[in-house]
Amino acid sequence: MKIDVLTKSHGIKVIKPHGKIVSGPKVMKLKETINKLIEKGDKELILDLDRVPFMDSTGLGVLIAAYTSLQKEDGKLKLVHVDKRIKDLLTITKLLSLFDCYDSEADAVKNILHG
Amino acid sequence: MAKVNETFCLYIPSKTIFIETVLDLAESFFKINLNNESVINSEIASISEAVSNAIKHGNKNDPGKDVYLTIKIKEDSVITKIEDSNKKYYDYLKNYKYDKEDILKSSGRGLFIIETYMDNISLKKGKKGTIIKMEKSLK
Repeated sequence: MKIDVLTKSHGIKVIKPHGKIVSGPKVMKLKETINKLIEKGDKELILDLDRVPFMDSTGLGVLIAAYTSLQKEDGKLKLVHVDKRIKDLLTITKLLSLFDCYDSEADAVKNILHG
Repeated sequence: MAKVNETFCLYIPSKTIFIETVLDLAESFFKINLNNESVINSEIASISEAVSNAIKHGNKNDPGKDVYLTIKIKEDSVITKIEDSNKKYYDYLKNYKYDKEDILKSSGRGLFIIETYMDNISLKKGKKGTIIKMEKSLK
């Protein structure tokens, strides 16, 4: 799985995975990418799901682990460009309340910087 | 309009690397034979969870053990069956309880997701292992 990591203003990191996030090596790569950023001290992360058409419950587990780790560091995880399928999955598992979802990276950055 | 009696069958070894291919093939089958995006989305989400469970929990990631998937389009429903190679997995699934309120747990949502998307699911012991049968209404 290709995963781009971009740095926005104020050091905010944007993680852009490409492809389905399903159980297996790809989801592990996403988990490692997020964990490395958190270990390096990045506390404000944006996960851009524009190129992710589908996610399974293992992918949700990665999001929850990231959310929990960032909460402990007083950090934030924002989701951008969330496909309907993924939003439905977040809704039925009651996880939508944990994650702020935005239509654009600019909106997510603005929210991180200005609340 | 659904193409009634169209059937899809697939064997895969128990390696999670194959899950994405299974989903791509199943989605192609549905798009050719079923003009119903909502049902297709429910099917793909459920197949993903059931195949993942069969590989990881049923067959314990043993690539020597197969997972068998069949999909049949009927007049008023889609019947999907996923069989692993472990009859003992039946007892685990039968007794599994999902705690809806523990939203921060990192795993264990697969069966709940299937139950939510499907209209009816049943479990039984097959010739080789545990079979989960999922039914989605087309009405």
